[in-house]
Amino acid sequence: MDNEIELLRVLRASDLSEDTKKYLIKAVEANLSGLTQSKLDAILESSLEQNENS
Amino acid sequence: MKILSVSVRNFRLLRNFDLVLDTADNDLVFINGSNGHGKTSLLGAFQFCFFDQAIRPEDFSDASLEELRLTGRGEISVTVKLVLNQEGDFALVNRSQAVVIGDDSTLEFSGRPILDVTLAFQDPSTPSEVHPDPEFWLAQNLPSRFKSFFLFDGELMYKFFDVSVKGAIEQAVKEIAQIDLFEEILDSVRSHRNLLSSRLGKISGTDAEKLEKALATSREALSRLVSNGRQIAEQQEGAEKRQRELTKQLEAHKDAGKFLARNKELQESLDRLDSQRRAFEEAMNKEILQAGVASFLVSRADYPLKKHIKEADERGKYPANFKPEALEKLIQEDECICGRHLSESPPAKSNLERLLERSKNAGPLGAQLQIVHDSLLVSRGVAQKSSDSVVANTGLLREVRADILKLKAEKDKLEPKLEGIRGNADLIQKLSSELKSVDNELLDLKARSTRLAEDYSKAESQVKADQKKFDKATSNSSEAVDLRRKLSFLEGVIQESDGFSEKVLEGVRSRVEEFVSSHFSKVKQGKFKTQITEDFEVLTLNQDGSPAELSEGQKMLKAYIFSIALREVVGLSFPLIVDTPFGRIDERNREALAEALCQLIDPTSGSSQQVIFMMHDGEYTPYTKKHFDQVKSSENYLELIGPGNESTLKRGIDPAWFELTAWADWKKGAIK
Repeated sequence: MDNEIELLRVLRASDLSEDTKKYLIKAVEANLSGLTQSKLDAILESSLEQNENS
Repeated sequence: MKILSVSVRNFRLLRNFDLVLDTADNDLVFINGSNGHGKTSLLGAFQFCFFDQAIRPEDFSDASLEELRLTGRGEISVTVKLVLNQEGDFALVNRSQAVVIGDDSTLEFSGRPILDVTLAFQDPSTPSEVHPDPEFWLAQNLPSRFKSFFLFDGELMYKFFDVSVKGAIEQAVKEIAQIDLFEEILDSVRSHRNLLSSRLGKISGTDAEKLEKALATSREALSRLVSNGRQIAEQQEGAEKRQRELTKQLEAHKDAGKFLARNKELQESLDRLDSQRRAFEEAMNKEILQAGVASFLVSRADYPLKKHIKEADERGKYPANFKPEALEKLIQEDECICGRHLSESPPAKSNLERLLERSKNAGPLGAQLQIVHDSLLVSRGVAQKSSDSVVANTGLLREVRADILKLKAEKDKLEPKLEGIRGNADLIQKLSSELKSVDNELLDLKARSTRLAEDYSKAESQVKADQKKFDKATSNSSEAVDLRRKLSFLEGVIQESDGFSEKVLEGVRSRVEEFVSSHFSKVKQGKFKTQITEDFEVLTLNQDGSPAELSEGQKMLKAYIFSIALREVVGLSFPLIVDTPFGRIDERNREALAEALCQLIDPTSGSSQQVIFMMHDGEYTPYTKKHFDQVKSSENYLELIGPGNESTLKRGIDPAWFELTAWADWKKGAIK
């Protein structure tokens, strides 16, 4: 029973830049099971990697 | 989320209550019952289960307690079990509270209420996972912040927007928008940025480390200024709102102010004229007294004086009207009093001589009487003068009195207008004084805001300068390069996210407004539009934008629409559970409300809402049923059984209701 929908929906529909949007969506999703610095590090790594690949 | 089943044990009238719903008819569920048949007990059971609402030993079912007392030992539990369904997954929620009987036959709780949540996938009969933190699960899925919007007593629904729900609405919207969560995430991102920055400083040497610390300090200073700025902005917003409210309230009292001012003017003029009138009257009284005294003296002295004069005259002791010297001169010159006839009329001469003789004989008595007589003439003059003055003043006094009457007439005319507002004089004074204080507060806040903007600009430059120095001092090792890249990315995220929460809040607010406005307008044929202000006040306006007066039925309808909108807009779908949903509204409005609610919960309109209504015989009638029948619904009723008045649930309509005229007519087919 997902209760994060609204924030994610708003984030997706927001006018934030794509990079920021993707990063924050990942952070919100990761927050479901508790947000640690190592998780944030992993999200950051993958965001930067995605940027490079795109 | 929909409720599939409810089981209640040992709670008030519900000793053995079980409701199992077919998936086909669980959108609109009726648990009807006459007053005293257990509807409120069921509402209490839901409140206990969802929100751990405190129960008392007396809330245990009488029959269960009796059994416990008879056995004298052991314990019984109130339990409320729910099976919830959310898009194919299930949750079994069970809250219970045990009670034991003490040595002196008193009832005592045995521990705290216990909550279990078990999750099941696809099949509720095969639970697969016991949730490790059931209270957290419940708070996540049925947040208590929404309590006012899904579980309530319908009797109070018509007052929904009259009582202060602004706070509840704001909280609900914040909950929906998950502002707190977003801010927490942003805080974590900032901490992460700081951590990486610190690491970069450490690997780049002592100087860089020092510069990094300076950078962290200037960032903190900047962050504090941002926080202060938000506080000031909030205070400013609050003060501006209060300023608008006060101005509006004073505007409403504008005429009152005008009338009160005119009344004050009139009173002042009246006081002035009254004082003039008193001065005139006082002066006149003095004159009258003077004239009176003089007249009195004249009247009292006149008669005795005349008598004395007559006597003195008879005795030749009263002076003639001629002075002896003048008479002697006349006699010597042979002239008459008129100056001509004396010589021609000898008797005249003797007359004159007699007069002369008499004047000489008059003596002191005659002279005194003459003085008294002359004084009396003076007194007469005084009395006359005073009398003349009174006459003249009477004219002036009459004018003043006429003016007073005129002003009094205007004041009397003003009186009915003042009647209702006189009590407001203090209020107006208070409002004006508060407005003045709010104006000053705003001036102060604006000044602080300006100073803060200057400080912010300086602090921002400081951060940029520190950042530049730090970047220059950091090493060019591959790790440092990687860290700089990460930091730059995070910095971008942080900067972009600044103020995003406010945007989210605004987005939710405007969507709820749009939903409520369009649905309310649809049901009410476009008569009204709804506005949710920035501070979450829900206004209903006529099409021309003026505030609308709503009937109780319309108010209830709007409250229901609002409650449903909060779910619809954000995709949260916990059930709407209402005891006596139509409250005190009349039959005609009940019917209209039933029709409108059915439009809202109609599954064909894409709604995924579940509504559970607990209605009494005045609410669930053939007239409202005909609307409910347009939607698939489950009809149930509560019936009292046994000596302990236990309430049990049955399908259909209470047979006892068919004895009521409307239902009897319906059964005969007279009501379609």
